Amino acid sequence: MKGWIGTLVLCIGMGLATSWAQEPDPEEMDESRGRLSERVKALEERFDKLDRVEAIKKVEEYLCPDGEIYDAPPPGGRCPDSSIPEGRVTFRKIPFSRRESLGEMIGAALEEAEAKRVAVGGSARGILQQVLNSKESDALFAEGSVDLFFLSRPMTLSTFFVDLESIGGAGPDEMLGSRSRVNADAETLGVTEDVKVREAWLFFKLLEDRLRIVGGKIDLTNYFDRNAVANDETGQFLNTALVNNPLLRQPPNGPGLAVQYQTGGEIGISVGIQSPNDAAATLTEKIYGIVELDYHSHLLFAREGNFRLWGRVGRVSDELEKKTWGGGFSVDQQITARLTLFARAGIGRTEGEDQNAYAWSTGFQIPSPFKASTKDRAGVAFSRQVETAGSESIAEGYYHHVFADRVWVSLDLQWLISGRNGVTGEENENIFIPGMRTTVNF
Amino acid sequence: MLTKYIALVTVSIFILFSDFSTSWADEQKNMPLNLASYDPKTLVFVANRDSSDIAVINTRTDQIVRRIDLGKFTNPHMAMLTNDGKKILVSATGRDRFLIVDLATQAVERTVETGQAPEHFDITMDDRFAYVGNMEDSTVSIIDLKEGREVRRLKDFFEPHGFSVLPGNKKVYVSNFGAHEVRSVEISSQQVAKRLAIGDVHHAAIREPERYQSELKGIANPTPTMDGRFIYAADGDAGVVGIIDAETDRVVKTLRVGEAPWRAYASPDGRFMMVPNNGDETISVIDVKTQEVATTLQGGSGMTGVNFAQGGKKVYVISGKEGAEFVYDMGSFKKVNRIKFGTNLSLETGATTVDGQKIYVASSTDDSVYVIDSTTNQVKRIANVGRFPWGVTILGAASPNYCH
Repeated sequence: MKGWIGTLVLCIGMGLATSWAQEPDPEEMDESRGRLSERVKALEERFDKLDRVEAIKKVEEYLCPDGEIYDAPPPGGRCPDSSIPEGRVTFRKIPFSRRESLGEMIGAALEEAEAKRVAVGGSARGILQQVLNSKESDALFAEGSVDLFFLSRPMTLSTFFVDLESIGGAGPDEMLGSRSRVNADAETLGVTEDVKVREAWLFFKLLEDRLRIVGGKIDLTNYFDRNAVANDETGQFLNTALVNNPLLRQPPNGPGLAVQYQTGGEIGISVGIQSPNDAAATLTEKIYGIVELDYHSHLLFAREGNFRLWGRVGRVSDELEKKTWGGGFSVDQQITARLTLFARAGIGRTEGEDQNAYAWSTGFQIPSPFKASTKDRAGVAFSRQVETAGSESIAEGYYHHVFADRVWVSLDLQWLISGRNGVTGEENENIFIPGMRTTVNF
Repeated sequence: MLTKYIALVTVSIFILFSDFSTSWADEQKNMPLNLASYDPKTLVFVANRDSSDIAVINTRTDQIVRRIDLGKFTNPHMAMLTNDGKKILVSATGRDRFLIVDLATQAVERTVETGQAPEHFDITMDDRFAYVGNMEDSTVSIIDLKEGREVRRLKDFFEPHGFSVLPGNKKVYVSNFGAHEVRSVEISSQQVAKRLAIGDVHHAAIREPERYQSELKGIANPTPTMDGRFIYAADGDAGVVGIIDAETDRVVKTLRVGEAPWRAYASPDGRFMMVPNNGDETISVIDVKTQEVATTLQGGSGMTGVNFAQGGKKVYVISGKEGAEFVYDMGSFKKVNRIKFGTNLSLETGATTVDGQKIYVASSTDDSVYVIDSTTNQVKRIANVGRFPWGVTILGAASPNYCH
């Protein structure tokens, strides 16, 4: 029996030993090495592909009537059928050859987390204006304001916003008493060195962003009578008549509601209501109501244009028993790649007045002629308003220089051609108001 | 003594048998199962992305008859047979390669380097050239299939996603999923002949820039009519289908369809184009003759494919997210059935057999292919076809093959 077991072990051992003792086949080794190299190469290629980044870019293209597109104007500036191509913007996804490093990914994740918290920002402005050629003694006026913003997203598709503002200095209207008000920045709250809540509202986006609702203490001019080139006293014209239509007669910021609906095409409609003063109690009784129809167009010169038609009813803020109504339009239209025209006009009447008031303004904006200052812009405009209490004409020109992304400096010149001085009761004639505006955003 | 002798013989037999069994298994493994012995039109080829192989299914038995290994990390996206049925062409996305596989030997015959992440492609009718879209570097590789090499790489596309070679081998249309344009490439010169804009998103984008700058849904595929006279190109962001005259390369009409249209699928009788709209979960049926939307059907979510059956009388629309097929009667334009395959499934693409009776649908999440009998709507599951099956193709399919 022992011999039998011994034989069995010997046979198995011999079989195993034979297979172990076999020398490796060189061809097999080469093949194995080849397979390994191939796998290493494959792994290297895959590693190289990690963390690719893409971006969607807005680019300009030129479209011919048959649908053919070009990245630059076609030869001779004409399509093959001799028509003029339509210049327009489109979007394209462009891959970047650079790789996103782990550090960048962590940075992006932190940024995303940060976005979910309350964001705080602010803006400080200082405006110096010199009055020249007035009947009073010419003087230099200084005005400054500071805004502090708080922004958070309490739930999906909503934004909560608070703007605290403080203003110091009344600007030249302390002396000139113009109808139009030559420093719009000083007009937003009235002069106050206290900190006041300028706006505090909750904003919702619904129906795939077609319906937007904002409610709280609001500034209706953010939603009505907008204009691409004459709607911002911090970076465009400084005169209040060139920021909004004087006959909009919007009440001071107060409790209100604005609803904007985009049809999905080029037409939008907005409805707004607001208390005629800062007291919420008057919201249901003597409301200021406004409706606006917007049309976004590319019909003229194949370039972007915005047309807005509005109508409003309400009460005079400081004389609530008096009813007032008005209507008007605001248009901005790009004429060439560098020139945008604007126009505003309005008509209105207030109970107790014996004639309609009207106001109109027009002007243009161009980008900087200097290649090194691509974000700079300049504008020139004229405004006239005629009301029972008197009429006024002004002209303004500015050059807005973006010194750094968060620091802007503007040079401004206003010409108060004619108008009644609301302080002295005399006439303002050919008064020049050069000024400098500095804005620091943080 | 006898005992010792018996033991010695037993062990010898054991050792011999062990060697034999190993070599027999190896032989079985390496034995070429000659797919050329099949009529290629009776085979279904399924590209398995994660197992980097092709499963071959016999439509007569619904059995997997072969798995063709494509090499480590090749991650094939789409496979297609040459028109002569002799080669299988595969885009190996994972390795930036285009593979030419011989059907008779099931061996990768040629490996061609392409741009980054090749996915979809089409070939000329004479099996000479393949046009391959490289999604990550936005180039198009033109591959000479006869010589097995890349002859040109066209640049400056924007995610070249869909390809259609026109009958006559004069032109190939390429759609850009990362832009709103279709390009025609002249085959004789292998150059881009024309760039055509589809839709007009910039008006809406001016109002809602965030939406359009966070995600771009351009044109998935330029679908030719069955006669090759027109190209139908659906733009996802614009919600329109542009109709291109393939003779003049002009956009002759733009039709508004539902929200976020995916792409057009041509009916085999040439009468209709079906456009699933994944935004509002509808299907626009376009009459090719009048070039108008004939009707709009209610569809499902995440529609990724359309297969016609029974000569175009019935149509099966894949709802990838619902793991179901919606069945419509093309005579009455009525939904006649909703076939739910299972839960937590993700259906990808399908192919219709040559006789128009059966549809093979890849289900990536359960590594299966589902077979629908279009007469009875009975469903059979073929399990373990490979990991993450994606592109399904049948030579001479009764409903045009597609991928996504």
